[in-house]
Amino acid sequence: MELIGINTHSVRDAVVSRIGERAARAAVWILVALLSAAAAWILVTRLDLTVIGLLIGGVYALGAVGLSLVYGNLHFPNIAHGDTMTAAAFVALAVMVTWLPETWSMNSVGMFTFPYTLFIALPIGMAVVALGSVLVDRFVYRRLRLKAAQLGVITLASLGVAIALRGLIQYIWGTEIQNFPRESKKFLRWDVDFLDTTVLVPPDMIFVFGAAVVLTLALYLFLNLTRAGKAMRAAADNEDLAAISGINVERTHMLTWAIAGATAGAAGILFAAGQGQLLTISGWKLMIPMFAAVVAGGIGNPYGAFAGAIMIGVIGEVSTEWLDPTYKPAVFFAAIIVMLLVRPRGLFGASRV
Amino acid sequence: MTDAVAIRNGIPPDTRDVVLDVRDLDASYGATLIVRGVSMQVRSGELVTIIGPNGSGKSTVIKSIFGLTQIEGGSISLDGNDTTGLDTDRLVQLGIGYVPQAANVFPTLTVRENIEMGAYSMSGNSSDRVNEMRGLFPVLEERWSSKAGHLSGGQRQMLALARALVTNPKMLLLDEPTAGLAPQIVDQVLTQVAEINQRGVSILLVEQNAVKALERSDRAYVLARGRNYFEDTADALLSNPDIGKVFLGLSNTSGTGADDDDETAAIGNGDSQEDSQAR
Repeated sequence: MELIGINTHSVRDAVVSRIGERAARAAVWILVALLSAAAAWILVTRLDLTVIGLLIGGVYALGAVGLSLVYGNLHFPNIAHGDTMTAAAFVALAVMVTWLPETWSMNSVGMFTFPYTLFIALPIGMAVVALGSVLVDRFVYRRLRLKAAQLGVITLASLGVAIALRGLIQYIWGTEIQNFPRESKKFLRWDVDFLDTTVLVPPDMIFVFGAAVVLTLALYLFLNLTRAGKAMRAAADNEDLAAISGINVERTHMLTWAIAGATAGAAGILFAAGQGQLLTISGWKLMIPMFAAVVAGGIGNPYGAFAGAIMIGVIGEVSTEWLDPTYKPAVFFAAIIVMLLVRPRGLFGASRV
Repeated sequence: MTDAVAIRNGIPPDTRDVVLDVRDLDASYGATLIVRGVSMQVRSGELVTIIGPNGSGKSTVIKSIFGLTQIEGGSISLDGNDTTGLDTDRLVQLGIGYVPQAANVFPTLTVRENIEMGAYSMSGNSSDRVNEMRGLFPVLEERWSSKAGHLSGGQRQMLALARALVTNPKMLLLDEPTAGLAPQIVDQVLTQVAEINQRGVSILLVEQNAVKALERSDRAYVLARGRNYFEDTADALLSNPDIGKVFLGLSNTSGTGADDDDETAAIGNGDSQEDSQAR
């Protein structure tokens, strides 16, 4: 009898708790639906902010892809990534302003503000920081890696590299704001009649966004279709097995640094060209949204980082509807925290689990 | 019996057709000497199993053959050529394949890409070999474009075998390919191993499922405390009551169970560092 009594009791408890659980779940869904509707409403009514955010996301994406690639292959957050971007921009500036004849930089490209010489400076800047990244790995990170240093030690070393690199930049170019050669151009104007808004877009942002898409696509094709790319993914997945398979793991690390350096270089140069000016802390300041993008996209997943960057770009821009733009870093931090709580593996799951 | 270090039994010192020859091997992880004076041979086309208690140095022997430990003494040769201390790269080119016990696939790569990575060090076009593996492992063909991380435990072991086999090795080293698998799947994997052997690949197998492995093997070595303890043909070992009791977990044919436990413990304990050292 008693057994049966207990059973009915527990059955009743179960029924009650199930109803409670359903109610709670329904409440959560309603909340999610309301929030989504509100978000959609804002995204549409402030289409101008949304579009700008999307395009800013492109800059973040260029940087975040390399950051994520390094995390996936070498398993640490490279704090020097932002300063690598700055270094590339300064190299490009030196090429355009100091090395090439000034007259070469007189004419700007089509609807964009930057001169043709950017197309010479861009590959040079990318190559210099790609090589620099490989050398820094060789003399700093590789030594720590061979000693099986812990994550915290390697991460702090990258902070050291970041500070040293910024010091070097300030030593060579000083701490003043540097102007990129540019010619003022009209913003692109898009009248959206049915929403009664006008979207104004600086033309350079479209170029940067396009470049981000092309570079991420190229990286995707490289990682998935080429022998070296597949070896890089294999080494990221399981270093011991990669070594057993005859993959030179140190070489995949070198390649990772070269690619991460080159994409960081492109990001830094295009960002500076779009802004028209350059500070020694320009890249450093981009680290927060880039980390947010990497976390949002799933740590170590470069295409996830691209999507995460677009998302972070839009969130940051739309937040200026209510918040002063100086609070943007706080918004990015909040996005990182929410993301880690809700989806710790990111939108698409991390490449490494 | 625990004092009997090595009982060489019945097998004449026949060196014809020896593919793999390990002589007086001493090997260590860090400062700990784990394998002490171990000798074993695998002849062409043989399936040879290494059994022994946990920590007896089984895995260390085949890791040493594949150049993954510190070799302190002795020699290893393949086809009569000294391969002691060569890089894994070079060993793969010389025709040795190795399947590690854990983490033996690339989880975020597809089945196809995993096999391609196995063929990484092959010169020239390897796509024919990769496709050959597809035919050899029907289980894998069904999951050809799936990520390895999504495979079942048995499928994963099949993939690990295919990954090592794609280089067309003459000598395959397998480190407990059935670890952690359900009994039926153990049979499937070991049957696959035997089939690979029948295609002419010599195999050196480390296995916990000793009886099932011996049923498919030609010969076996029993290791204890990092030393040769016993060796014989598989059939003879299966019908040897002492070995059966102590190493194969077969039910006692005679008397005192408590003594047997003590003996097993005594044989195993001396080297139980191996597990911690080898992670």
